[in-house]
Amino acid sequence: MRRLNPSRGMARLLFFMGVAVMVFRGVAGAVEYIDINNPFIRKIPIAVPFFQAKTGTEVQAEIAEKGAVRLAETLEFTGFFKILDRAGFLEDPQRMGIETPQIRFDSWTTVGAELLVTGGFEVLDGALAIELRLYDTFKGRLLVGKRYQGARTDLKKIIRRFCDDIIYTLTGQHGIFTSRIAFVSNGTGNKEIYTCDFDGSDPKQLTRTKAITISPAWSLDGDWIAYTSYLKGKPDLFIKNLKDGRSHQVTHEGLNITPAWRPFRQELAATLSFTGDQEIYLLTETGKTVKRLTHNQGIDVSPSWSPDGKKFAFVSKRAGTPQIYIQDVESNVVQRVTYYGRHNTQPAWSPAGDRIAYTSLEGGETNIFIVGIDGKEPVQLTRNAGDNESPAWSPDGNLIAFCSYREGPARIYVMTAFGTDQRRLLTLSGEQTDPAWSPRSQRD
Amino acid sequence: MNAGPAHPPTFLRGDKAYRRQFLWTSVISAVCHGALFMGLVFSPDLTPARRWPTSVVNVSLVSLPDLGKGAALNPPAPKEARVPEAKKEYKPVPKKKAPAPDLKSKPDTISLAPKKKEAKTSLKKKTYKPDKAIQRAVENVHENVQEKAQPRASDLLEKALADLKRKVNEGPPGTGGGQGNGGGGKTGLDQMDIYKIEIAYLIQQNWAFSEQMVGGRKDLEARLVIKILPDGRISDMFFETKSGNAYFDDSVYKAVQKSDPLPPLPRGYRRPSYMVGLRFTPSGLN
Amino acid sequence: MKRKLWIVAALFLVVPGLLFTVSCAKKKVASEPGMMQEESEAAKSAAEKAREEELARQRALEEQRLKEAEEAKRKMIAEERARFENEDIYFEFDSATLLPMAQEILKRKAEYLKANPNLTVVIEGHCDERGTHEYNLALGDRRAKSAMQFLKDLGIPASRMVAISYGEERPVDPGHNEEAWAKNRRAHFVIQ
Repeated sequence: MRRLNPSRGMARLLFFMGVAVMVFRGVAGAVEYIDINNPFIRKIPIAVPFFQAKTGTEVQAEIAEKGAVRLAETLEFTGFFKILDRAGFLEDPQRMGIETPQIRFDSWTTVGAELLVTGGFEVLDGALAIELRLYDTFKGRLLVGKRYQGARTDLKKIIRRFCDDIIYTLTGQHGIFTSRIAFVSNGTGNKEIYTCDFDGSDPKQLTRTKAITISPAWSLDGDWIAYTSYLKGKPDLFIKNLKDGRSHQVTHEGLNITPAWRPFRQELAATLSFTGDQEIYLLTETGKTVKRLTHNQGIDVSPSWSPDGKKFAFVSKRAGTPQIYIQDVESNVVQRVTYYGRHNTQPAWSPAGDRIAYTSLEGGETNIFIVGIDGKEPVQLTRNAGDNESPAWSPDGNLIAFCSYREGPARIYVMTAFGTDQRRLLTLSGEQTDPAWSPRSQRD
Repeated sequence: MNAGPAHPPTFLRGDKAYRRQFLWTSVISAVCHGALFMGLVFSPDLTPARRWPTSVVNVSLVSLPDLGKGAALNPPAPKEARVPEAKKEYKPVPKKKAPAPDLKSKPDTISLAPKKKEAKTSLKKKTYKPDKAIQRAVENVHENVQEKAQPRASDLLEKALADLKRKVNEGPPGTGGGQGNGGGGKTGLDQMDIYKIEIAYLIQQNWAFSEQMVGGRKDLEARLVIKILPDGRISDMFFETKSGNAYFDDSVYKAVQKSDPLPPLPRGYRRPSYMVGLRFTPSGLN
Repeated sequence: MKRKLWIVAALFLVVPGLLFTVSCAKKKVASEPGMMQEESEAAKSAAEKAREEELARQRALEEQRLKEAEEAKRKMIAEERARFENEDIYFEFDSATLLPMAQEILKRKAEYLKANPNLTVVIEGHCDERGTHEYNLALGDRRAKSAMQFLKDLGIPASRMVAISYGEERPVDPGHNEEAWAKNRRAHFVIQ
């Protein structure tokens, strides 16, 4: 601010000299302003050179490259970063400085890097010691540095942990690197539930019902999973503890579908139709009915809880077409959220609590939209790429997993919450649908 | 199915609902009308942006460069081959403390070291002589850009290249190589206009900002004032107002830093320096 | 007709036989009265035998006739059952309202169920692929239940019916056009 006055004086001088102002919209009128409002790069350019081996062997060269590549891929998955091409680097990864006084930051800013990750490691008797650091290249400052020790097979885990540190340092929020995604695949001939890591790696078959099994839902602690299965010839709810194998069933007459775990309570909401009408009920984890939540003649289905567990979004046909509504559990006050479109279903309440993603069928195309919980400004996230449905938020609220038919068969895709960076998560035989993103694992 | 006993209660309830709905609709309608008029009076350019089916950011623009992880990883293959070679040559890889220059003797290092230096000077000290180095640095970036297939980035590059060449030659600043907008106008006024377009474009191209990082906020604005010397160097830059979001402020500061040096001031401009404000808003994201 | 033919054929066989025995007997009667009596008795038993044979034949005929009738009946029952199971009712998009055509079909189904009071039926609700899985499960449930309600109103006890929704999980036509969708928006009936 000290420098402000002379600068203003100078500007005024220029102004009186008769310098025309091209994009003059400055409110103060002191300095002429140029408006810049369209960032060309919409990600943070980050350089991840190969890690530095402290003693050189074949095995270690592999860690140096694979580790760096894996770290870069993991970061890239978040959608925050633009990974700079290593071919453009001015530094030799094996001889450059990897710590503060030795790093020539200008050779990184020159290639456009705003962040730099360096790694140094050594392998002794199969044990791996690795140091990873994140630098702000413009400020020449270490942002976070960690030293890890473990078995060589722990490399993946170590890298994910450091990525989490990076995200935490930059955003103040933990990343998604310990989360998993449940989904439905019919590769065995029947729809069964599978799970995979957040990035699509390590897929595993969870159920073996040999019947239609769909709609997986994670509990907030990630220990329980609930789903709908035709194991007994009709749609029933199955509630399963992944840790100790305990399981419960809800097998009322009619439908028992669309489970959704209530945050902070071991309760879930689900649609049952034993009265003849499809209504949403609150159930205990053992499947006992706590209370009926919706009271409306017609379809009420697909509950999705607000992050505080006080409200839930759901689909109701009470206005003639399926639309998204929000209901308060205590007061039972209902508020309509979607007005645009005639077929809006599959609400998914964002982890930040401010928005709801949903699926809209309009003009013969199914696409994913996002709308504020006040119903304002629905935004279309997918378009011109087949049908897209079943949005599921990542636990940090930055990504959305969904099901897309753009290749023909249904596949699980991931995009940012702004609809950018749409990419396939994984490919298995058969078709994959119904993604459900787990919370972060507390233990890992 | 609803023809039976279920019918009367729904009808009654519907009646009540109708009344409430009517009330609501009137209120909402009144509010909306009010808002619409206010909006029209105060900011006419706002209304079209708020229409119902708002479209999200231009997807293709962002997803274009990285077609997949594999694409980004395959190109460095030749470089990868070079790295192990170098490593074989120096078995006693220096510890963290020992900097690389101690051992520099192999061809790799030689080619790298000057590159670094020139890059540095070109950024900070602005030496014109080693035009070869600049050329090389540019080529390097060029390759980079081409691999990533960014059409607009290569435009920028041509421009940057033209600027660099002009600087190296110390020739007369032919009005905006890339812009080519009425070169005849020799008055300071026209030249300055073109110059401003030019620097705005350059800085924008260097501005990396992840909307995800700020949770999609659009209300951010930062004003940065810069002082440009006749040769294009930025001699002073400071925030007049910050957005309050550290990441946003950082990103715009870096954008300007990356753009230093800017093209030299037009010949016709006879002041010792040019001070201009830059106002950054992320509104262009949508 | 067949029966008459058989009788005529039988008469052709029996009458000459009787005539033959009678004529022989006469001769024998004239020569040997003792023999004659015997012979007449033999003739009697022969006639008896013939009569029995004829009766048996008639019984066999009767049985066969019954069997055929039963088979025809069974065939008819199977046909009726097949028609009951194969005749689906169809719905409009995103609707569980019974169309007039569907109501006609349901009336026939009610008659059938009344005529076969020991049958129980599963009513499956199905949807086309448009709309999302979860919602379609609910919609399928509604379709099955509206068919069930209609049958209930026609006097079929609810205890004889079960509604199961399959949503869009089991399309009859895997196509992605209106023709396929129209076929898939259905309630299907299965006898248990």
